[in-house]
Amino acid sequence: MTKQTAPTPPLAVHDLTLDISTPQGKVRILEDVAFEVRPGEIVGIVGESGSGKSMTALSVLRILPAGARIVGGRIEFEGVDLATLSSGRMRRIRGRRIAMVFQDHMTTLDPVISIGAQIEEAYRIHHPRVPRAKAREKMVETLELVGVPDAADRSKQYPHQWSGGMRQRAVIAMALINDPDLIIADEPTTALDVTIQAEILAVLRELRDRRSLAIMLITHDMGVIADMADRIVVMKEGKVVEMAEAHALFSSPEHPYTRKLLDAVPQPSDATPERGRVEEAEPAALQVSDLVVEYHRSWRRQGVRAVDGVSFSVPAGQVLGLVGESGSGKSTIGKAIVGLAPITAGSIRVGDVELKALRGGQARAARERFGMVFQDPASSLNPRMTIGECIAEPLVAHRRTMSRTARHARVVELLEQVQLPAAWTTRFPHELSGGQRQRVGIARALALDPELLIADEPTSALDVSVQAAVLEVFQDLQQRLGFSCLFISHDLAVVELLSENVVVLQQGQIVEEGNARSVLNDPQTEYARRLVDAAPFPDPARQRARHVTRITNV
Amino acid sequence: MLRSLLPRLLSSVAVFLLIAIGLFTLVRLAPGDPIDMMVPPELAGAPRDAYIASVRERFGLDQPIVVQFWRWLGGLMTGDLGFSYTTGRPVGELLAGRLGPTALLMGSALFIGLVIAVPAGVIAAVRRNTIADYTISSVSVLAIAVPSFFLGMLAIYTFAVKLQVLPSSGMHSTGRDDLGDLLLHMIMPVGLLALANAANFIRYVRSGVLEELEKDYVRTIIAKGGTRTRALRHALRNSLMSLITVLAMTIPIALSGAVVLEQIFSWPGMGQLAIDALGNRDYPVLIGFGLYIAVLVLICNLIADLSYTIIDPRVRTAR
Repeated sequence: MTKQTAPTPPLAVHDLTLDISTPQGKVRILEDVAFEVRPGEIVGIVGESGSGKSMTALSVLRILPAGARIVGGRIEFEGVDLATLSSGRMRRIRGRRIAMVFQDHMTTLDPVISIGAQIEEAYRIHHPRVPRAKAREKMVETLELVGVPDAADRSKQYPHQWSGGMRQRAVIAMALINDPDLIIADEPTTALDVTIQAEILAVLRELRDRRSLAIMLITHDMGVIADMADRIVVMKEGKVVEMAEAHALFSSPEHPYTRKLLDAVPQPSDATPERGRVEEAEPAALQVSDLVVEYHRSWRRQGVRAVDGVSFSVPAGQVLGLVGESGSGKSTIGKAIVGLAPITAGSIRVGDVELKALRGGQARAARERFGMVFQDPASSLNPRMTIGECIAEPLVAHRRTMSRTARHARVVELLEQVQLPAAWTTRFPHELSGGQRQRVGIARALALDPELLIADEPTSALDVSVQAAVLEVFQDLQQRLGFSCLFISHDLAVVELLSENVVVLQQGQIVEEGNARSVLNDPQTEYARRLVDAAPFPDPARQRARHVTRITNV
Repeated sequence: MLRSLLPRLLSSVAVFLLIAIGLFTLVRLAPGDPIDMMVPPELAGAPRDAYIASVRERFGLDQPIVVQFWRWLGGLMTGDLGFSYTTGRPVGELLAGRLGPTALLMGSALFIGLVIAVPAGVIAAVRRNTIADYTISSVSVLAIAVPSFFLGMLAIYTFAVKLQVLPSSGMHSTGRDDLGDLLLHMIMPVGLLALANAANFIRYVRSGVLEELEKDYVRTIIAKGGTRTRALRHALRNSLMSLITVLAMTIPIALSGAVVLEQIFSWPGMGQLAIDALGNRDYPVLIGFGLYIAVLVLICNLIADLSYTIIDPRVRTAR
C-alpha cells in the first residue's frame, strides 16, 4: 500500500476565490488562496476564526454552505479541477480519495445509528457490491487501526455512549476506511483534553508515516501546528499571508500577522525556580478544606463523587491555578464555591465566612464577596439584555439602594476598566466579538468589587491573539484591584502566566500542587507529567525533541 | 425494556384513577339535574315528587356521593360503566357501538393524512423557499385556517347536491351494507379530515426535517460521498421523534370524534354520542366518554414512549 511519490502534488489550489451572498450583498470570503499539499506531507493551515481556513477546506470537498460560490481559481486534485467537476464525479472523490475529519461535536455523527454502521456506510457508499460482512470486517479493522479497543463490540454502540476522544477516532476511522490520498482535518482536536489530543495527533502522524497519506490540518492552535505540520499556511481575512516550512516559520516569521499570532501564544518559560516556597503570612482569601461534592443522580442510582477530599487555599491578592482534564472536578469546585454545586462534606471559607452553613439570605449576602467569570461568553450573557444591563445586574441584586445614576456611573467605570468604550452600554451581546463579550463577563464579575474571583476557563473559547489580550486585561486588573482569584483551566501555559501556585486535579483529587513554574517544568507525578507532555509547544524543534524523548522513554 | 416500562404503567394507572375521581366529582358539581329531563311534563306537585324520588332510588342517586362513587368504581373495575339515563342502555355498549365508525373514519383519515404529509413536508423542507415549498406551506396554512364545517358544507353542496356523485350523510345507504357503499360514504368526511390532519403534520415534518438537515452529521454523510437522498434518509429518521409526539397527541383527539364533522355528515361516531350526552346531562355516558379519552391518551403516551426507545438509542440507554 505504499504509493510512489508522485511527480505532481495530489492537491494544488490556485487562486481560489469564494463569495457568499448575504441579504446585504456579496461578501468575499476567500481571495486568491493558493497552496499545495504533497504526498506524505502535513500542511497546517492556521488563522483565527473568520480567516477562511475552514471555508478553504470545505471548498476542496465542495461541501460549502448554501449561498457560498467558488467564483475563481482552480482546485487541482491529481490534475483534475475539482471546482468544475460534475457533482456525480465529485461524489466519487469525496470520502474515497479525499476524506474529511471534522471537529468533534455531539452531532458530527448521526445520533440514532450505531457508530459501526456509520463507518461501514462510508465504505459501502463507494463499494456497493461488497457484502455486508466484508464491510463490517473492514470497519472493525479500521477502528482497531486508530486505536479503539474492543472495536467489534464497541462499534455496536451509539455516538452518545462514546467519549469525545473515542468519537474523534471513529471520525478518523470513517475517513480512513476507503484508504484516501488526502485527509482534511478541520480542528480535529479542538474540543478535546490535551492528553487525548496528544493521542489523536499521534494516530494521525503515524498514519501519515505508514501510508504516505497527505494531510491538510486546519487549526488555530499554534502548538498543534508546531507538533504536526511540515509546512504552514497562515491565513488572515480570506487571504494567505505567509507560507513556509514549519521550522522556518516558527524561527523567523516574516509577516507581522504571523509574528502577532506567535507572540500571542502563552509560552511556558524554561527557568526552574526554587521549589516549595509557601507564603502563609496573610490570611487566605479562600480556604477549601476536605471538600467533597457528590451529585445524586436518582434514588436508585449511586451518586457520583465529583470532588473527593480536596484542600487548598488562595492567599489574599494571589491567583491560584486549578488544572486538570475534563472530569477532574476542577469546574465543580468553582461551582461549589458560588453555590451551584452541593457541598457534601468539608468546608469552604471565603475570608472568615463558612459557606457550607449558609442558607437563604445569608448565602445571598455572602455571594456578594465573589464574582464568577464563565467559560462561554456567548451563552453566559443574556442575549436580550444590553451590555449595560448585564453588568448592572449584580448591582441591582445586591445594592438595592443604589441610584440609577450611581449605577450607570459604576457600569461605565467597569467598562473602562476592561478597556471597552463607555458608550457600549446600550449594545447587545451579539454585536460584540467573543473577546469583547468575555471582557463584559469580567466587568460583570467585578461589579461588586469582590474579594475573590472565580474564573472557569475564561479564555478557552477564544482565539489565541484574543486570548492574549483578554488575559492582559485580566492580569492588569488583578494587580490593580488586588482581588484573589481561583483560575480554572486546562491550559498549563495560561495558568503559568497568571498564577504563582497551581493545584493539579485528577478524578476529584489533588495529585500535585506547588509553584506553577516548577510544576510545569519539573512535574513530580506521572499524571502531571502526562498533562505537561501532552500540551504541544509552539516550537517545531522543541516539539520534535520531545517526541524523541517520549519514544525513548517508552 | 419491560423494566423501564413498568413504572410508567403504574403511573398511568394512578393517573387514570385520579382522572376517574376528578370526572366523577366534576360532573356532580355541574348545575342542573338529569332527572328533570326524565319526568313526564304532565306530572306536577306530589306525583311529580314521588316520581322523581323513585327514579333517584332506581339509579342510586339518593345515596351519599361517596357511596355512589364507591359503587361506580367497583362497577368500573368489572367493566360496568353504568346505564345511560336517557336510553337506559349500558354505557359500555353505547361507547363500543360508536367506536367502530369513529375508528374507521379517523384511522383512515390519520393514515391518509400521514401518507400526504410526510412526502409533502419533506419536499417543502428540501426545496425550502421555492415555489414548491410556498405552495405546500400555504395550502397547509389555508387548510388549518378554514373551519371544517365550512369545507364540509361546501363539499356536500358540490358533490352531493350539485353533482350528485356522493352521498351526503350517514355510513350506509338504506338497505345496503356492502363495502363499495361504505367507501362511497367515507370519501367526503375522510377526505376532509385527512386534509386537516395532513395540514397539521406537514408543518411538523417540514420543520423537523429542516432542523435535522442543518445538523453536522448531514455534512458528514455528504463528505463521505453520500448522495443528498442518503443524507435525507438519515435526517428523516431523526425527525421522526417530533412527529411521534404530534401523533401521540393527535390520535386521542381523533378517536374522541370530530364532533363537528360527524354532525355534518351524520356519522354515527363518538363525537355525536358525546354531544347528545352533554345536552341530556347523561352523566354515566359523559363519564364513560371522559374515561375513554383518558385511557386513549394514556395508551398513546405509552406507545409513544415505547417508540422513542425503539427509534432513539439515547432514550434507550438513558434508562
